Amino acid sequence: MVQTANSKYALSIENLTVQFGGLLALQDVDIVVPPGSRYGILGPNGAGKTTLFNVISGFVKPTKGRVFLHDADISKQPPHKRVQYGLARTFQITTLFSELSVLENILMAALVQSGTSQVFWKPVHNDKVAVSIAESQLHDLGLMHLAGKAVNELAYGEQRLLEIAVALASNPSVLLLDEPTAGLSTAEIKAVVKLVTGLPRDLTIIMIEHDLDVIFDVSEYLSVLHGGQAIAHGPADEIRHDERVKEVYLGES
Amino acid sequence: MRREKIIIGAGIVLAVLPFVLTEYWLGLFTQALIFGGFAMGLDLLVGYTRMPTLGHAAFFGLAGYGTALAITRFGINPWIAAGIGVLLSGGVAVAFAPLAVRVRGLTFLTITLAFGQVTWGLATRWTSFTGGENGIPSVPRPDFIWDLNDRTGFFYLTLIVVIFVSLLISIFASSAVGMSFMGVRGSDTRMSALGYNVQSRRATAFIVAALVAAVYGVLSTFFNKFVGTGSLSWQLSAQMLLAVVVGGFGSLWGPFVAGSGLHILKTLLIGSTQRWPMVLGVLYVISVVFLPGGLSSLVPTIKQRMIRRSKGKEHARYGTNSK
Repeated sequence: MVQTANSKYALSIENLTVQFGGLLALQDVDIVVPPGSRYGILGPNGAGKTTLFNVISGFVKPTKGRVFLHDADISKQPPHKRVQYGLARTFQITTLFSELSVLENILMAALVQSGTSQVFWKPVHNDKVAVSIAESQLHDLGLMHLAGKAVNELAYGEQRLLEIAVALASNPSVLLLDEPTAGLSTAEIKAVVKLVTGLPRDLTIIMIEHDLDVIFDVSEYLSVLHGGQAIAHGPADEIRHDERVKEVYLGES
Repeated sequence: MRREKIIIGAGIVLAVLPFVLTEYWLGLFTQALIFGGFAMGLDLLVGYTRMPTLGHAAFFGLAGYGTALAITRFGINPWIAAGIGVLLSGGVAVAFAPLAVRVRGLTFLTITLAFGQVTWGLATRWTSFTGGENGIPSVPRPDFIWDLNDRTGFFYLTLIVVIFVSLLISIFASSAVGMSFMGVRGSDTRMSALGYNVQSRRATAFIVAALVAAVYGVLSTFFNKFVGTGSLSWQLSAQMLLAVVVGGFGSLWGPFVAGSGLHILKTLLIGSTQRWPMVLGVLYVISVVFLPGGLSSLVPTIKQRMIRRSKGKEHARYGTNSK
């Protein structure tokens, strides 16, 4: 992890433009995220939210603009290097390793943190440091009872929780959550919200979410994307009453 | 650790073969072990990492040619020549892997096929050096503690190498790197998001499978006292790929058994029919239709039945990768 305390912003995005052929997915977007905040990204389908996440995590190269993580310019870094800067993310579509156990899924992230992901001469389950990182992660999130289960035995809601747990095992300072409650029942949504609100306050969380109750429950600040442009930024309470936002987004839902 | 014990146990059982088999069958089993081992190594690439290749015979053959040429053209000691053969294959794999792993799926299959054909073409056309279609005959076997020119003697050397390499593969497969191969297979975007360099993992799988193929290519050359263009052919690559499919992706033992079995079948059938590729094709269709999980899927179904019976104790050990 790189210095967290000194930097003014955990994440800042400058003048970001992404063009896919003729489609302008993002246009001159500026976003700054204070350290330790809960930051929501709101916007209708096709507004460019997931593209924004893909640019931040390095899966999409921006046409223009820069991304800073704690003052470090990570714009040119490949996705796997950005993890070293303290970035982790989840995916909208669950991308867990379905043939592996829950513990092994977390272990995959923990091995990078323990610096033993290159070890090829001993069984991975004998790696005490990595296993203990993974176990304490499961323990902290109250998921220890699932450790030995195969991912494809889990309920969908449990898979979404595991998705977040795996990202947390990367020991991030900034965590991107891409629609963590999509497709979940009311009870399962509660479990995700409980998990997210219970996370340590030195962790910065940026969340894309369609469920308005969830996003206003969790986030302190919001940016609203519409047609690839950031049309409003600010504290959650202000955004809730912003006329433009009501028009383009809240009005529709 | 269980898998390692099974390998050693199986090795001990196989050690009685020279006492029960005729010379002919012992020779056939020696080769079967070699091809089984080749397929097991390929499972790391095809099964664990899901990178289907039609070119890994190139590394089998290159090592054989490297060894045979070093001995016959340059008079180098067979043991050192064996090392040169493996290094040659390994070096070519290291050079080729970064290019090959940039593409996936069918494109990867095609590019490995093309690469294999280049080595095959080189061996076929460069007659003055490689012997062309005639290959390189009269490759002497190395000296050892016991006589390797004796069928039984060579069988035991092969068995030792197979046990040793299989143990290495088994440990490698259960290591952090082995698990990361499964991760790359499952979701490479997720792997990069966790901090893994996916391309380098894919290249590692490619090189490791090439090195295993190389070791067995050298053994095969010593066994036959000959190396020919057949060892570089796409047909051999296809046969090994099929062994992994029929054996069951990622089980290691399944591809080993299938690789051995296919060689025995091929040798027995080739006397009565010239249509080996057709037999392979039929086998492929049968295995995909009736046993899509391969040979290895037969065992988990038995195992699952036993687990279901003794449910409740499964939390003793987490994980499906620790085997």
